[in-house]
Amino acid sequence: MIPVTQQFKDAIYSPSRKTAAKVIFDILDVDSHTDATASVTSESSFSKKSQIFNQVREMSGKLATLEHNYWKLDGSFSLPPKPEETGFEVGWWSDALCGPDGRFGNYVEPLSFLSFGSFVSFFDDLPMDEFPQSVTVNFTKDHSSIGITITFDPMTNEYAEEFTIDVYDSSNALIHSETVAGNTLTKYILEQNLSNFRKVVITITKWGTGYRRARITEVDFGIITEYTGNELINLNVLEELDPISNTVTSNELKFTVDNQDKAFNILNPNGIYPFLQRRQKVMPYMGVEKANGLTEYVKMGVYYLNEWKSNEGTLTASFTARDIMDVLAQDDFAGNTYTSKTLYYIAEEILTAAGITDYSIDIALQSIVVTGSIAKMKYRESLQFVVIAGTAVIYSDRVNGKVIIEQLSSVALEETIDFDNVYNPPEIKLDTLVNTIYIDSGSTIYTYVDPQKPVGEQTLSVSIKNTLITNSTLANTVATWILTEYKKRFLYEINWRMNPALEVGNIVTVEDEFGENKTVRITKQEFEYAGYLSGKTNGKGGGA
Amino acid sequence: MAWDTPKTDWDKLDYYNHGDINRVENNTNYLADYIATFDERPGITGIKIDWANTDIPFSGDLNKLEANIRVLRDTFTGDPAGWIELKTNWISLDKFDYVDANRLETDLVLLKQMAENVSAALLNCGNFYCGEGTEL
Repeated sequence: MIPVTQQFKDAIYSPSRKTAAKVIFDILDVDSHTDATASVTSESSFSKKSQIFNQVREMSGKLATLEHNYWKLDGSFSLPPKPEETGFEVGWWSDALCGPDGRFGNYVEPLSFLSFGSFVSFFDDLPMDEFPQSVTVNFTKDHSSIGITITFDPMTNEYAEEFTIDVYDSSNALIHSETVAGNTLTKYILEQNLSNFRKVVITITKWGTGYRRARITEVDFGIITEYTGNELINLNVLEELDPISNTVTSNELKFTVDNQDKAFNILNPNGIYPFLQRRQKVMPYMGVEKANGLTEYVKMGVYYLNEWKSNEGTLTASFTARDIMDVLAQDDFAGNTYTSKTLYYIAEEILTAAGITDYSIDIALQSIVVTGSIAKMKYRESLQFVVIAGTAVIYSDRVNGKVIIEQLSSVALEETIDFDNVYNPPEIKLDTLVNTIYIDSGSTIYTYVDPQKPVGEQTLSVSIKNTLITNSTLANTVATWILTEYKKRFLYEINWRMNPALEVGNIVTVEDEFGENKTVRITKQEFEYAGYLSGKTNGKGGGA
Repeated sequence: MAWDTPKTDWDKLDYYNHGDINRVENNTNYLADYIATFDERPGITGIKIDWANTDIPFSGDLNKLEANIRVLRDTFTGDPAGWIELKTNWISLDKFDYVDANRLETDLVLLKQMAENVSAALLNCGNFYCGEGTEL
């Protein structure tokens, strides 16, 4: 369950509630951030200029320096990380400070010195902080985007007031120059169709406050748009999780936005359509207005754009996006043979081969050693072999889209889906009875029969094939786990008001007409927002 | 090096500037020199009194500041009344606020008072005291 405030919990189950939704859509060139390198005029000792392309748009904190009247003693400022320390987000900080009026380089009167015939040597003698501070971004190939977004320092609400953005093509010809004056935004968005650029130079001439370093947290090649209120026509989030990993699916996001300005029309030369790319990041949020009038949002995951279309008749545009599990289903893992390797090792190998760097693997998999093989297959399928052998599940987390492999907790939350929040009493069906598990390792078929199977009862079996389960001990463990899950035969379907803080895999109590009120593991959630939130939750629970 | 009047009424609306760290370092050094007039000079290290607005204070610098004050304190037996325990385990991203700023300078004020009291109470060679014993 996503952590939320008590006010959120009160509001989401209140008889009268006002729900909200928003979508943050990164309309960026998807390859530019990995192709970009930066050179800068100066850099502070703890600055990390390479971080301005890592798509993290917030520093690790308000970082304390001795710039004049900057380090406020209200407890909000943190000591900066040491230069050699990693794991902190700092972005680029110039070494040079601006003058009292915020200007970098305003002391220079070039023309008056030209007559001395030593213009260049004069500049060489100037202290560094008398020059404008710039970041030059170079690419190895052409990129196109609908603009450029520069995030200065939102945490301290500081920004460059005057700066230029110069964009060059592969022949170093200037294709666009933007001079900005009077900026007061910590996130500046240049909306301009930029095609086939190879170099971008951001030159900061004036900072919003005197005696400051220039600093940039992130540069995005494109624009980051937020759709909310009337702009967001509807939003649908589908989450699924199979507790025994028999199927590994990707979650799906569908949303429709207002397109009256025809920005998403194919033929609009000034529109966004040409800059839409598969795998652009989309992050949906759902929230509720609390008693204090503020809306608290819950992030519903990180998704990657898959399909889009302009609906000419309704002047809307529709989008479909899926989470990282869909990306893992696109390409093949080459396969490998393992001798006495932990499942943790194998999972890490597959994820690394797939180019996934942001993941978390349950340490329980470090103690499960296997000897087996995985044939060439999709990354997602190969990971499915690992998680089944590890009695675990795999999914993409809500917060940052990280791939999570974990054994599910069997602890129920103190959450109840009660009759006050359902549209109809839950529909409850009984799942198929299973009393025998067959596990095919490729060379051996292990059979596990439920010890509680009555004598003479018909064999009702489930078969799985997994070439990592090659010994009877592990086969027994996996079969017991599967059978235990199959014994939770009560299948629930609940149409209700929904709580966005609940996640698939959570165990909640569900009120029913007979007072049984069983605990149910959520296996599927479909959130529907169209001005208000509703949806459907599926789950498995109960005993044999 | 003269004693620089400390600021002990830091508030959450105040800003910490390079002059403030210089003052703490200066007064730490002053007290070490002062103690050296009547005792062994405390082994403070890395005194820096030229902090500038271009400098960046890292956790190690804060640990050094507080450790030096601790060294001064260890010259004496017992804490001065009102002593605030020092923090010498700063790490990156720790938050430094007005409470911390007050601690540094309040403790230095207390140490100065204690050092002056000790100095004033010292028996110097040739001084003649009477009236407390039973015999001359």
